[in-house]
Amino acid sequence: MVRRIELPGIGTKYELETKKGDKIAIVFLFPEKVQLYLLPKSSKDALSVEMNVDEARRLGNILFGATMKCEKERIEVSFSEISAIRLMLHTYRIGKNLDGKSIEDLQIRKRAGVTVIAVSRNNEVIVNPLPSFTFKEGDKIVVVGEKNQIEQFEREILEI
Amino acid sequence: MEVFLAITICALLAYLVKTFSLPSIPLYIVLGLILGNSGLKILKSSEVSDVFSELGAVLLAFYIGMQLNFSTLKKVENFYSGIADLILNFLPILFLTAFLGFELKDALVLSLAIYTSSTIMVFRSLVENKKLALPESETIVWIMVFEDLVILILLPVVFAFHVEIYGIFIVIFSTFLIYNFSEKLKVVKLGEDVAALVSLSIPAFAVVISKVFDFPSVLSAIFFGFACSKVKEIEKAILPFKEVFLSLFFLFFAAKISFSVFPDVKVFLIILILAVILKILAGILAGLIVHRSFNSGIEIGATIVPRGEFSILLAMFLGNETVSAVITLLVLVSSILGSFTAKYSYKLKSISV
Repeated sequence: MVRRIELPGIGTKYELETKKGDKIAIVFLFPEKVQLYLLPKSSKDALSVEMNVDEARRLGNILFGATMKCEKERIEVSFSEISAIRLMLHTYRIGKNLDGKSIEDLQIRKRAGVTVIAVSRNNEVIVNPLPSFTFKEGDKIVVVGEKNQIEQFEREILEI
Repeated sequence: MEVFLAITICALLAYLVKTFSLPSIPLYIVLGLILGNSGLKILKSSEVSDVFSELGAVLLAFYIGMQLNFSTLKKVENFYSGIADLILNFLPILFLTAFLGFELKDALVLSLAIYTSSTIMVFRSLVENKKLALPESETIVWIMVFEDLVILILLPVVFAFHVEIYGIFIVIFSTFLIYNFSEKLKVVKLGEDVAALVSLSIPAFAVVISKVFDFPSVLSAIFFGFACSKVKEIEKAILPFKEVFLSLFFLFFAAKISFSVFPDVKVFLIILILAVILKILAGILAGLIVHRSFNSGIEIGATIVPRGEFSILLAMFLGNETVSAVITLLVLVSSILGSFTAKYSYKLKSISV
C-alpha cells in the first residue's frame, strides 16, 4: 500500500511498505529535487540518496518493469498489456555525413522503419519533426523502432 | 553603493552556503553585525537599502502566506501538539519578559518572536539531514503549520496598535479579489519573464495598498500570498526573487542593530536558555502525544529549536531598538545551536536513554 503525505512547504512524501516489511519513502521536494529513503526491516536507520529530476526519471525508467533494459542511451520498453510490442528508444548524434539532409531526403522510415520522434538542437527540443526537417551536424535525435529496425537505421542511414 | 556591496557579499555568502552546506540565516546575520552599526560600520543603511530590505520582508511574508495550508491540522493529535508548543513557548516568555520590565507591547512582540521557530531552517535541516522518512518529520511539519496559523491570528492583534479599521476591510476585499483572479491567471502561458513580473506585482501591490491605506505591508503580503497559494507557477516564479531579497533583508537588518541599547546580559541569557529549553520540552510533549515516545519527542524538540525569519520580520516591523537587538542575537544563537541539535539529535536520544 502506498501512503501519500503532503508536507506543506517541503513537498510530497510517498511511503511504501513491501510484503517483507521493508519501507521505501520517496519525497518530491519543491521545485526539483527528489529524496529516496530505504528502511530495511532489520535496520533502525534509513539510507537515503538525493537525486535531481532527470536522475529520478532514469531510476523510474529502470524500475518501470522487469522487461525493460536500459543501457547508456537506449531504453527498451515492453507493455504488460500488449506483450508483443517491444519498442526501443535510442539517442544519436548527427554526424557530418548527414548535415544538411532532411528526414524526407534520407527516407528514414522507408529504409529502416524507424521514426525520428525528437531532435535537440542548441538546447531547443523539437518533438515529432516534420519530414521536411533538415539535420545539422551536432543535432541530438531520438528514434523509436524495434530492435532490428534500429540496427538497420544504424547501418543504412547513419552508416556506423 | 551599499546595496551593490551587499549584493556582492550576499552572492559570496550564498556560494559558501551552497558549497559547504552551511545554515544561511545565521551567516547573513553575523556578517551584517560585523559590517554594520555594531561592528566595522562599512555597511550603512540608506533609503535605497531600506527599500530592498522591505522588499525582502514583503516577499518573505508573501511566501509564508503561500505556504499556509491548514488541511493537515484536522488530525486531533497534530492540533494538540501545536497547542502544547504554543502554551509552553508563548505564555511563559510573555510573563517572563513582562516580569523583567518590558512594556506589554514589547513583551508581546518578544514572546511571539521567540514562540515561532524558523520554518526555513527547520525544513532545511529535515532535508539536509535526510530525516524526511522519519514519522517525526510529519509532526514537525504540522507544528510549523500550526505556528503559521497562530501567527495569522495573533499578528493582526499585535499590529492592532498600528492599524486603521478601514485598512483591514480594504486588504480583506483585495485578498478576496486576488483569490478569485489568481486561479484564472495562467501565468505559465505568459513566458518566464512576464510570469515573473506578474507574480512579483502581487506582493508589490501589497506594499502599494499598505502605503496608501497606512496598513502594515507584511500583513497584507501574508494575506495576498494566502490568496495565491493554489497557483504553483507564482510560487516558482517568486522563488528566485525571494532568495535574493531575503538575503539582503537579513544582512541590512543585522547591519542596523546597535547593542548600545542591549539589556543586561543576564536578562538575555535567561530568555535564551528558556527559549531553548521550552522548545525542546514542547517537542517532547508532542512526541508523547503523537508517537507515544519520549525519544520521538527529543527528535522533534531538537529540530524545532532554531528561530529565524519570522522573528526578524517581527523585530523589523514592531520591535524598538532593544527588542530588535534581543531578537537578533536570540535568532543567531538559537539558529546555530539548533543546527547542531538537529544534526546530532541521535546523540541526544542516546543520552536520554
